[in-house]
Amino acid sequence: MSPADLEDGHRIVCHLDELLEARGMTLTELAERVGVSIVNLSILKNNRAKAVRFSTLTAICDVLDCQPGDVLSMAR
Amino acid sequence: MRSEPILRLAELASRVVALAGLVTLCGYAVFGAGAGTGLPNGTPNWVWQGLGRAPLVEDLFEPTASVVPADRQVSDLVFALDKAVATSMLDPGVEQDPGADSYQGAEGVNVRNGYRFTASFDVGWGARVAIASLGALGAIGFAAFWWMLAGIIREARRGAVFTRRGVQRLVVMRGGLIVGPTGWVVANRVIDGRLLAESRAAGKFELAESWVEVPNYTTITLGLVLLALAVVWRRGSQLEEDVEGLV
Repeated sequence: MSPADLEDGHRIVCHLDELLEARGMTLTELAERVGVSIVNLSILKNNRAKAVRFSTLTAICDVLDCQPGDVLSMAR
Repeated sequence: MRSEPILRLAELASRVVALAGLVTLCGYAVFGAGAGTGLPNGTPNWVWQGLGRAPLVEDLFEPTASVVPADRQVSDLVFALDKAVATSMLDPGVEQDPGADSYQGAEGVNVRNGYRFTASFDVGWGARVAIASLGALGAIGFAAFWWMLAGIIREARRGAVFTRRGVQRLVVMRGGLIVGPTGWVVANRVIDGRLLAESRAAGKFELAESWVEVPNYTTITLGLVLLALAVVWRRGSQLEEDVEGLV
């Protein structure tokens, strides 16, 4: 995704797609385990989120056994 | 959500009140009874209007006085003419209608219940249009206020309480409540002043020199409350925008 595709002038890109695929997990399953609605996770996955709660990020990292830097990165 | 039925009811009630204001005004303007105009009671308004027996204002708007702010216009004019009516009733030629609640005053002035009156001289189409326009404006403002309130409730019902549209609605409602009554008094003063001057020139009444009208302070106070509410709403709207897209 190019930075131009991102909204609100930020360049943060979410990698939930790749992380889920690597673990053979669905978004629905992640939503259930994290305790966040699938709608909100979908917003995050599709780079439409404007902000992420630390609690959400922590829960995602716990479930996917990864670091915040694996979930989010900044596009150059 | 438990509050859903209450909000739904409140929205419905607001819309009903808005429509009722308009329907009542329109209904009585056309079908209202022309009591005290010299024509039989119950004569539709449009008949005695068409016959050139239009009174000043009372019978034009009295039935809706409790609904639309037209009661200001009525009461002010009654107050203004009170001295003239009282003067005319001191005239030995004025007879009290025995057993009735009305007095037949001079020059077609009827006094009912000691304080109400109608004056059954023709005020002319220009004045009628001006009076009717002012009444219609009040009714439309009244309806718009309640309709916008219904809109705010509708948004709240859908879970979007602090929205930009809600803020805009509150700003308009607040403006209407603060400016409306003052504008109403000024417009009334202009119209009534002209009518009274004309009636005096035509020898219909000996009028009191002047009278004082005051805006409806309750309405203005409500406008100020809405002003505060709009400020709070705007802040809420900003906060809501801040958390939009938060995961």
